[in-house]
Amino acid sequence: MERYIKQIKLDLLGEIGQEKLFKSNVLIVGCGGLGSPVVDYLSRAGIGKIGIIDYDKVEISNLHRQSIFFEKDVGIKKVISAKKYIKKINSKIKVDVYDESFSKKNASDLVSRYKIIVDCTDDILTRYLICDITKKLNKIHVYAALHKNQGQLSVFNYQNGPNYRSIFPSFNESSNILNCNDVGVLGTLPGILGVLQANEVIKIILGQDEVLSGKIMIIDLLKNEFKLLNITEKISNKSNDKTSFMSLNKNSISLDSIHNIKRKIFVDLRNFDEKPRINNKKVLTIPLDSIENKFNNISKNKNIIFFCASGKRSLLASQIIKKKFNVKTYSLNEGADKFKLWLNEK
Amino acid sequence: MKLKVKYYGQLIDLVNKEEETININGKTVDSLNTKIIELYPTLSGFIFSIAQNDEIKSDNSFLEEGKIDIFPPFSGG
Repeated sequence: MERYIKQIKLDLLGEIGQEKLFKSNVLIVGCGGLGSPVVDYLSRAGIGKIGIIDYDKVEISNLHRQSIFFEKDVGIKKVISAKKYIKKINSKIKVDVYDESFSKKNASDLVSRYKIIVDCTDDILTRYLICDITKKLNKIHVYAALHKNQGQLSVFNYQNGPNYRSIFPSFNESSNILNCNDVGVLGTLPGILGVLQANEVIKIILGQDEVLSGKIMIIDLLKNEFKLLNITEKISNKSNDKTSFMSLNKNSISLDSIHNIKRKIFVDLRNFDEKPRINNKKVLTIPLDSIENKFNNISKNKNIIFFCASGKRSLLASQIIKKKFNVKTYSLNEGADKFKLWLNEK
Repeated sequence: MKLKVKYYGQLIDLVNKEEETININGKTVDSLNTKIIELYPTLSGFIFSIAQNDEIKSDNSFLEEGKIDIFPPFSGG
């Protein structure tokens, strides 16, 4: 207990509170800008069991904001590096890592194993998936998201409180999503938001009254604005009758089931400067921002499978094409890295 | 009714401004939604939420003259 003496001294905690932290378990979905401080502060606080899911490798461009990774980690799987980092802090913490994307396939199984789910993804569709699964399995969803110098923070599904759809309920197949923009960010913003997420997790475990449930915090770090908006009951009720995300992604497909599709052509939606490049006669490159204009150039006798770096742009392209041309296309769940490996193995 | 609207996140990029004053015909959130889509057709189908006096409003709730916050779900992490 000596390790925790500074926090045990707080009335908030005591030895009983510390024991609660050690007996608790948390799943961190996404180990990037938000996930890094969450991993760091929750492991230092003494959470007993931490699960981390992320399929990415550490890149040099991560290091300006993802504080648990270092130059030597570049090219290594994030979950492997993160586990080593936690073990350096406290070898007694149980760490489960999942080197895969969080998807409909694994969401129920993973979420059912943990009490609190910390949403550190960079993708709105995954957030709807986390929302629907946590609601279904009655788990707590600790949410943060950011854009440029602004961030959002809330705790959903806490003691029958509102959820993500209570604020953004109208997501369905005809909705547009404001995703896929690779905009810049200062490292401090995800740093602050991730620490706030970790703080909410600790408060939840300790049974504090002032958990950020029933409201959403919107912060603007350039203007030093911290705004709290209440989620009214009326809005909360609206979320009950909305389309579940679970039925939404029927056009997405994984590499392991791709053999079921005959006469296929792949479309790489990444920009021409994104790596790794894939040179294959069955792969066309049409960046997302020109897909609407160039879609008619693709032979309609083939089944079209979109892919990109992470599966986000491909999902968006599928939605756009369905809306505009009423043509069914597929979105590949895996990113270009895994797709290239798969092609090479064939 | 005159509303002083403040945009957040990606909406700032899409409407190319942080704040503006909008005149709406009705008094509900729905009438503001309609006006915004009329002004910015590219926002059609996009998800955003509207708040006044620090309360997030449902589509059929009434607004009063004054400040409004309009924010989309953020995507970054």
